[in-house]
Amino acid sequence: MRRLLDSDLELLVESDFIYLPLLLDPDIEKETKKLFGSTSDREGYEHFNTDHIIKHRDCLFVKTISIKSLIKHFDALNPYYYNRLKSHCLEKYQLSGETDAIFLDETLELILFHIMPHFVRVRRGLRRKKPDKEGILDLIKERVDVPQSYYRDALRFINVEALNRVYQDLENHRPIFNPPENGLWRAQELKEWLHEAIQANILADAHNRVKKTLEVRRQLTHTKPEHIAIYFYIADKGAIEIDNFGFYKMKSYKEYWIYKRTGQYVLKDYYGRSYLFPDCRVAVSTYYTPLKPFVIEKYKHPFLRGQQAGQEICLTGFEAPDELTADAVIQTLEEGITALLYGYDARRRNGYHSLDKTFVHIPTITFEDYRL
Amino acid sequence: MTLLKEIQVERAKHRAKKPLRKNVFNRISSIVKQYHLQQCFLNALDHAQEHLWKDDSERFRVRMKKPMKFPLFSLVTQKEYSITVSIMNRVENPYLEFVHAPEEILMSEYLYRLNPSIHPERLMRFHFETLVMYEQRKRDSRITIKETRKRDLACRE
Repeated sequence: MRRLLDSDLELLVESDFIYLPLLLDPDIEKETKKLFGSTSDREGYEHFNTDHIIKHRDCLFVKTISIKSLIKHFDALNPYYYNRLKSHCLEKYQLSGETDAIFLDETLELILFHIMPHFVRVRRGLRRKKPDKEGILDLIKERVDVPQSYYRDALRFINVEALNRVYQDLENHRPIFNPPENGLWRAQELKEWLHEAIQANILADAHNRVKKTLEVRRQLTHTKPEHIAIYFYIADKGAIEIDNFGFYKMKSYKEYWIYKRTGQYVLKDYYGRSYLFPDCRVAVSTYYTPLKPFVIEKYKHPFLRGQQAGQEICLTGFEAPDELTADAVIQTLEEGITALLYGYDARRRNGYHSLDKTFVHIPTITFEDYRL
Repeated sequence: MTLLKEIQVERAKHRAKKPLRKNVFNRISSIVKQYHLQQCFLNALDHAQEHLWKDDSERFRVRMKKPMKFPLFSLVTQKEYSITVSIMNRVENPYLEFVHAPEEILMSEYLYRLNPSIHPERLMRFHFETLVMYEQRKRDSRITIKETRKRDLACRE
């Protein structure tokens, strides 16, 4: 079928069926001559006793495929091509699930508008005022270099007219595509028509999604395109970092890792010798409760059991919160960072390891390489 | 032979598988399809005899046939069909069964006229151009022998 539509043949469309040029050999020719008890019905057309063969402008055409069933079963006939068309169509109207989901993501809202303002410095004169949603998005716009392509997508996203038209047509039960006109069609032209019909069919299947998307977009009509571009950027990249605070989206559903960088810091051992610790990211997962701080990178510290990525920080006297709230996340992150930076007591040598060698235990982790 | 045996033999004949023979239509239509032959080829076919062997006697070469696969069943478009049928109607000789290229279609008639009893194995193996050259030289040499004999006889008389 694909080869047929890619060819340079001329196909005949007649009453929702594709007729192909009849191929001949002497036997077929004899049979067609026998069948030729023709009855002309209108100009240029001659039907034989059966409607399987039509003569149009002295050329014989044989009935092959129903256009309706071709459109209906195209997903089974050519799944790869159908999926490509589908994704292209959904992309055209920005109907992919992720695009809308990002605006309805409560966790992202919590991070952006309730946790981020605590860690990010907003420079607005002498007053330190907690910024509102718009202020936060403006701040992200200033600090993060969002490419222009996201801005263009945002402009397209706000323009709901095209989608509204599609929705109205679907609601009014109008035919989703006009059947092709009877007559000769070049294979390429028919292919283009077929693509449009299949895309219309895909949109009809996505009726509910179109409705939901329209609702979301109507809510966002007064939002600045720059701000929508930021959402698109987050949906695409899944991460943002400002002033050593950041987050990134994990592959699992609605899980974010919110982190804060410690920067370099110095700890002292029992003998007053200094150890310079490198920067690391202390993070909290929004998915697993109770919320516990952990280091993202491969890292070593007296409060970490080993030296691998994703280790939980050893905290005493800290009740890990069970509920995901902005305060709980802020508290957990601060507890983790405070423990790493100020929790080690050189005299007590608390934690899993001590900075200096004690000769009492065989050390599993040493910090000699950090010593200044 | 008894009647019973006769009936048995006759039935056995009917039951025997008949080998599917590649017919001329398959061959010619395949060539038409492969070489995209058009109406102008038919015109060339009409005038093939006029200018076919005017100056070729000097360059003799042995050409083998190009290998070409012919399908068991050939289906062609209406246009190709009409060209195929026209070729078959214009060139009616048994050598058409052995052609492999449009060139050979043009030569087949002439070759048949030169020698209507060439062995099929030769027809299958050699390009018709080679066979035409060969047959023509054979004929020319025969003529010259006849002429020399005639001349000899005339001289003796």
